Amino acid sequence: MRVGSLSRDDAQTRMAANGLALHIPPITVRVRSPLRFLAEQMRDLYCDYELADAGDFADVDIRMVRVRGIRNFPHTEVQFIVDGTTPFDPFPLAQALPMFEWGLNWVFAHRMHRYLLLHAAVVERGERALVLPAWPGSGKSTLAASLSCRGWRYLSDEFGIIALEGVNVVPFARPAALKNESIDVMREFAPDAFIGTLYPETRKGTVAHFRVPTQSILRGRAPARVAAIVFPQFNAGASVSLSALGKATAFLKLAGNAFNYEVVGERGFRAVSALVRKSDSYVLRYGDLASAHAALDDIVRRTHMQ
Amino acid sequence: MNAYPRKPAPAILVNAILDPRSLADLDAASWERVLSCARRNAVLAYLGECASLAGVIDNLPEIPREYLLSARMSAARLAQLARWELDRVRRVLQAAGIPMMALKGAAYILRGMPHAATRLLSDIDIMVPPSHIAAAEQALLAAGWRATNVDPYDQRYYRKWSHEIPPLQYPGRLLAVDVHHTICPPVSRLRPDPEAFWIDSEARGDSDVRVLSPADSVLHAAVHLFFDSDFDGRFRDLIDLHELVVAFGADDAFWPRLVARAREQGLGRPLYYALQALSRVLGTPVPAVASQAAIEFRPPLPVAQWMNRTLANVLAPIDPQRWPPAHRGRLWLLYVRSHWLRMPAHLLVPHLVRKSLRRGRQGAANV
Repeated sequence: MRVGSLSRDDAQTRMAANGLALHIPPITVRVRSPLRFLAEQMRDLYCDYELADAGDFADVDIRMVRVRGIRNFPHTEVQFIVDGTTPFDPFPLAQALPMFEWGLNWVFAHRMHRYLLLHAAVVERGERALVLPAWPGSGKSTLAASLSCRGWRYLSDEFGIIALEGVNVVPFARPAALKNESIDVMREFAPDAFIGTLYPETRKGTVAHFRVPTQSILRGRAPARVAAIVFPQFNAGASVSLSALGKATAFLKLAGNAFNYEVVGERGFRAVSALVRKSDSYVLRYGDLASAHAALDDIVRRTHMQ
Repeated sequence: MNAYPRKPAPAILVNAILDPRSLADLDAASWERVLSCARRNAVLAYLGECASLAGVIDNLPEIPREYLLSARMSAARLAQLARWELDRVRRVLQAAGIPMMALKGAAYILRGMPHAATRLLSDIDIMVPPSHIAAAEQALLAAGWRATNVDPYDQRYYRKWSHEIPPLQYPGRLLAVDVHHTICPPVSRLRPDPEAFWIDSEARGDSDVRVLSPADSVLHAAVHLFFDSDFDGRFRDLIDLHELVVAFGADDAFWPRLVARAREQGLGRPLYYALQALSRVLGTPVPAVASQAAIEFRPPLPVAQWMNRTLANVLAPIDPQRWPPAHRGRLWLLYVRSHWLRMPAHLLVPHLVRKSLRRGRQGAANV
């Protein structure tokens, strides 16, 4: 049964009672909250995800509760609770969903050391996955979201989850957090795509979430083989250019950008080594999505011929 | 979660720590709750270590096992950083001719205790003789460490009322360094002789870094259990004590020595409560000779009974399912601190008022 098959009331009742438990491979997440608007927004963004049973093992159990600080009465805020702790200061109530998304990222990065967690978006086409590591201003989320509207499979906009024993990347397909200008860029690029509520004035500016296309979610558990690592760099108005990146440089940039490289230790070193040894690395400078897509299509085609 | 027909998570957790084979019987829902409870009480890595030492970890279901291993990895990395930070500090203090002792987590690491690499360290604790405290601070500042807390009130508070100087941190490094000159705040009634700790201390490894003797280690952990102003994670501290007495207790001479030492150093009361809490919460085996002897340190019976109940309650694992959490911290603060330690109220109250006002301001600023 999928989240979208719940009625609005069902979703709200479940979330307020035993929690809405979703399979978001590779984990199961339970959200408990009396906030009706949160249930509704989650139902919209996660409609294609499988529901878990209330008694199933949840890897993460999150409560989102309304809090009213004495100090800033009458503002109401929302608190993120995991394992009975509140790792963050409360957010404005309306930003419950962005807080849930950020909080889940934080929890994931802190406890999934069976994988090397690269800070990267991941997309795949024809059994060839591209890892798009996050550089400041890389536009990785926008790139991944837009590619998924053009036949690519979307694996993640935040985590390049590398299985430590090989060079496979594991999907963690969650809504892409689009920020500021990229929201309009995506609306224009893919008018049919579902983009959720606009959240102005968050810590990262205006944020809206792009819903992962159904096709990508249906293949949600299948790992993919990394074909290339592409460091995207967005420059408004720039023409597209692709340059090869040396393996040593790629290694340092990739390892330096991982969430848990130091925690996983030697296994992380070996995983990054295997990754850069077996796949080519590039820097992609681009000024518009269409030409970036063409360049990435090209990379995938090239790896097919090898 | 749906219904709760099972044992409460804290009971499952304590049971699993004492007998890791009991993990084999858990269903999925109990696994979820015990992992969450272990995380809440900062003992997930420790639980993994227990399961590993008991030889059962490979038989556990894959998902919980991976979480236990993940937690061990995180904690092991912190232990590695602690070892390194300790060595950096040693280089500076040794060159300045300042004797140095590792305390708590850092000492457990130097002693090679199995639970040492499962603690979620945020700092390392060292002690220097009181006469060298200013020189130690100067040497570390000159070598690049910086005070992490520059609030003038806090600086004054530490220097005037505390048993340590304000924490130091080397820019860019994760772990801070707490430099102590004794193990109890000077304002408390407890006045052990710091020199005696040095005389009984033991050298560790090939360096000159020392650690407290077994008896003093336990007494320090007992004092620490009833002292830290951080009211969270008390169960974790009880686990430290448990590991210490189990490891040292293998030597028959340890228990009589511990009781005698507590008497010498005037630390009988914390020892009495610590042994009570250990046997009530964890069922830690304490030989009759020690528990009998510790009775001499007991307060009048009604106080003792009430305190023991309160302590067992406050030191048991916190159940993460409860929200909002019970006000254990407040209980702790009001009763244990004031009744038992008797930090003079004319010092404590203004300090706490000031702290809580400031927390209020910070909270408002963070919105």
